Amino acid sequence: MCFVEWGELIPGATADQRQEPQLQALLRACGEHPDMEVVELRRVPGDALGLAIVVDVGDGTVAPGNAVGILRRERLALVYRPAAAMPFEVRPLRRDFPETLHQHSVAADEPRSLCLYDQPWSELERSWTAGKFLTRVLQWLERTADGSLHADDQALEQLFYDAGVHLVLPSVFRGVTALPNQPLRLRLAHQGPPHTTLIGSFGSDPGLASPGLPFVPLLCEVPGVAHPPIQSPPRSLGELQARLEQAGSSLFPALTDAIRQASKGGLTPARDSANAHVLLLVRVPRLRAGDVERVDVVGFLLQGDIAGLGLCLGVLHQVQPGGAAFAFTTMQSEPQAPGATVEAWRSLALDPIHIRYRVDNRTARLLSGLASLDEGPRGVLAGLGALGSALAELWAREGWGRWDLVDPDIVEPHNVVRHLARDPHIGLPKVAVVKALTQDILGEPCDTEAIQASANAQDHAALQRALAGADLLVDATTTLDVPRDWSATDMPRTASVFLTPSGRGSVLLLEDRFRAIRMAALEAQYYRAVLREPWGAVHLRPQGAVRVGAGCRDRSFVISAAQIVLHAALLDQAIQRSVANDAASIHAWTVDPNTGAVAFHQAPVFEVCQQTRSGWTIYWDLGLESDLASMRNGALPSETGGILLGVVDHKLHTIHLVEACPAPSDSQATPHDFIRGTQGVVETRQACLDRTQGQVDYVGEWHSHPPGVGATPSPTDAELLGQLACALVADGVPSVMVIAGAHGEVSVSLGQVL
Amino acid sequence: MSAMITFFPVGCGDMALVRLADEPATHILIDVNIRGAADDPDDPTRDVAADLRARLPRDGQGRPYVDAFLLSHPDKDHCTGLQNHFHLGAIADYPDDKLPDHLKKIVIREIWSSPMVFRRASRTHTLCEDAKAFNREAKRRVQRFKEGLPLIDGERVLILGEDENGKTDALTAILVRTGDTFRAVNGRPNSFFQAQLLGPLPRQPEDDEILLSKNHSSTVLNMRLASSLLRQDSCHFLTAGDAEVAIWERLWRRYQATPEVLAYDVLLAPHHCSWHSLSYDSWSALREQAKVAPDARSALAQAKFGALIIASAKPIQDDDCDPPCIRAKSEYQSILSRPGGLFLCTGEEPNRSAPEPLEIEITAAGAKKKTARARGIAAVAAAAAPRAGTHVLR
Repeated sequence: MCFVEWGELIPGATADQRQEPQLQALLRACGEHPDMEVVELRRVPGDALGLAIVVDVGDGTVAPGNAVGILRRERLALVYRPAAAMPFEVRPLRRDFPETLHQHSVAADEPRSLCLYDQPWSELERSWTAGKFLTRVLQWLERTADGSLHADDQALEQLFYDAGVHLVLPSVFRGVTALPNQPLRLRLAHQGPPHTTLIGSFGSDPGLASPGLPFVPLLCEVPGVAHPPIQSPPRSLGELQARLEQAGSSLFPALTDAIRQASKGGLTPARDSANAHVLLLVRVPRLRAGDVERVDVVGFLLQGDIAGLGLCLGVLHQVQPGGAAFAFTTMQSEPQAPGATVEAWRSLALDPIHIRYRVDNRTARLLSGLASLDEGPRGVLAGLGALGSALAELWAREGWGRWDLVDPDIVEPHNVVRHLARDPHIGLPKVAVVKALTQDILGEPCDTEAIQASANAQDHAALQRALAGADLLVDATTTLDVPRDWSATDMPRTASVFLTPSGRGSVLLLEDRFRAIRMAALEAQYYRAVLREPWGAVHLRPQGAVRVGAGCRDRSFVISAAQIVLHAALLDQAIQRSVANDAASIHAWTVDPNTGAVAFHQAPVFEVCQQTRSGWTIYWDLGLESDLASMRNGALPSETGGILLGVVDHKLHTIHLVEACPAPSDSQATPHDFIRGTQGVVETRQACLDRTQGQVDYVGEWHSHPPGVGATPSPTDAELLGQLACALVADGVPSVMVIAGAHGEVSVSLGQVL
Repeated sequence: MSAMITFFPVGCGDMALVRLADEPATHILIDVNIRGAADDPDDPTRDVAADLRARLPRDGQGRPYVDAFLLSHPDKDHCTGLQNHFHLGAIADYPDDKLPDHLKKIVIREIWSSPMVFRRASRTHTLCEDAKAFNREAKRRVQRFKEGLPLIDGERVLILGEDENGKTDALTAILVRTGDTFRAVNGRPNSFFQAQLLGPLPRQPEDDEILLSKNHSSTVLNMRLASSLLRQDSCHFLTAGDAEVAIWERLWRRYQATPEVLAYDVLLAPHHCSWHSLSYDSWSALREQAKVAPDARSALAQAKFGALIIASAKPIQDDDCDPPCIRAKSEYQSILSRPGGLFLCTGEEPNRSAPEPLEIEITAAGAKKKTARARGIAAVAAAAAPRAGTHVLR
């Protein structure tokens, strides 16, 4: 058997003589391993510190007739190079050791190098031991021999090793089979480790600091290639053709066809071919079991232009020296590959380039793991405060939706603590700042309109256009007026998101797709959950605010950027999940400040009923009706009742009933009448005001009627309503009377002093 | 399922199960050495009976069975445990149908026996009880055949090698003559199997008979195992019991013109890697001065590309022990050097402290160890931990 004489032999070397602890450990492990036999020690050429333990290796798991050509016993150099990025390497020394998958690129005159690990040494060294290393070596041999090293579900390996130069192309190049007709320019973004990076941009791209080097792309697709061992990248057109031919493919006629296509009407050769470059993009379909698994695009830079390349390949011809080059097709003959007569093309130098793409929205969605790869809603995001700007950034990064941004405010100095904006943005409109900071996150331009206006402004044409054209509105204004005004208007489906004043909680209210339950009704039902559920006790309680200006309203809550990011992340995913369903939802999250645990709360959503009386619209829901029926039934044969709590909007003239409280203990109830007592009523009202930050207050009374009696108010009831109205006139609010009758019947009456 | 040869760790003794690639798989067991210690749950010796049972099929009545059982020769270390674990006697009298699976005796559908081997063994020593039981069972089945009773599973017998004085002349239907090739297992031709009977040699002159008896005359088979119907030649497995130097010399003289008859991909090193299979000299007396018998070595040196030589023995040490003998191991390794093969020992797989059955899988690409040896954490986690506690061991 012939072995490579690699490096210089170190005679009589033993583990004890070596100073390097890791090498000592490896040498000892080899000596103790039943499947290894140490042959000798050698110095590694080209590395003053490098040493190699030469071993004969074989554990019997390699079948001798394997198709790959691994032998039952192999002679390997276990290389230790303490100064290298990967200090341990394995070089098979058999001269005819086969070219297989999972090998590193090596110089032509060196032994091959096995690719054992997919982690960098900095990560690997935490768990690396000599024993595990030897096990890995044996596994490589066994699995390479039986063809299982490259798992079936693992992607096919790339065709060529990374040449160290990456070209990042605009995202439109991803998957294209025809090139965009725009001039391209190349600029150097970074030179040196980990790899040189070139950026390819359309000449029209905004913000280019330097015009860069112009180049012309040339795209061709060659016949498919299965899974050959990875090879070093070709450095000439001839080498590229040889490698493709070896894999059963060919540049021709794809390349000559592409040149013919590009030269329609003639191409005049560049006068200064030193400054002209062709970017040759070769699409290589990759086959697994005969089916195309993916299409690789391998890239090469060629100095010169397409005309020069075509002339060299004999595809183009000049009628006059220095004149335009044309492709002539002879009627009698089939297009052919450049033959033996034209061999100059083989030596055309290629600079291999690893092609990368800027990220488009679809790729961003894929990489973000979004449940649906649909592009997401055409939306309006209103309110570009801390939460709104955080959501805008997340959605831009995820490539989810196209968002018009609406906010009337400018960036104030204190905003930068938790807003996407930075100090230089102070004084600029928030919508403009957020648009600027989010539009170039991905490599695909985003179609966003920045509208500096209040989201409920009636007379703003651009806003109205945006609202009308959207299929989802997200209100992050942290106001009451925007969602309530939107609620009263015919709009697209709306979501409302906000943080609680403490920053520990957040809420998502989402209308159903058909807007049968609108935001104001959801707000009322959310308040009911706040009143009833344990988490509601401190949910809306303010934590404290600081003054950020001289005005009465120049106060800002104490909330950290971390809290914003946390809740923005929760809301981002909740919105994406929820909008996929038709139903309305009420979701809330509470963070435990001591542990960081996040609790999720979901409140039921009930269908809404409404009645208009004397210019006021009263809303209640089936949940409230069910509660009334239940309390009525519980008190039968006597009547029962209690106070009504709700939200009154004097601008919209709406009353949303939130809660019907049970009868106070000192109430007087008979089968024919009911006098509501006072025990605990004041406390109940105050607790309600506290929990809802004053939004839910007393709005009237309810009582039940006995069996056989409907919900129509009796003369006594009308008298009661009148008394209530007179009493409430002091606060300027109307009074509501609700009667729960037999068979679930409910009547709602409004008392108002005219 | 793929074809497989499993070598059980039975110390210096033999026990190997050949599984063919047919469906349902045919199983041929070569020798048993289930020692008392292996049957004792309190003894750390590997429970090879459980290992064997786990690999055996069950018939329609839930009985574990082997399609064929070959006793290479009637030494204790090749038949221990036979009576304890196998049903001997008429299959109609199988008594264990109501017992739990692990207590049911294993049915031997066809017994492979060599009267010449028994005859020669009886010259040199008294047979152990398990050997006598095997002999009785083989004779019972032969008698049944002679009486013309139907050949059914559990009653079949195959005679390997003709007996002296024409005693087997009337048994042609169940006889394989030395040198013959046969393809049937349990009375049925099997497309995945072929074997050539190379030993025992037929009756020789008396001097030779004495020599052969002293050389542990054994059944010598070279099996050809298919990995699939299309790959008939995937593995040649040469197995020869305890055959020693004189037998190998005779085999070489007989086949040196057609050495492919002796060629192997897997060789069960004869007599547990004894030096006496390769030399007439005493290893312990002469050590490195001991001379190899060239013809015997040649017979054993027909290793094919990447061949495996398996010693069914306790771990091999650099000492006077024989078998297993370190010098024999070295000689086998030297044989394997050119074809690039490997030498393995059942007592060292996957490690010396807790050996496990060594499985050699027969693939289209040849014979390979099924799984790499577990070492370090994987081995410790897979094995019972050493005793912990504060009590004082006696």
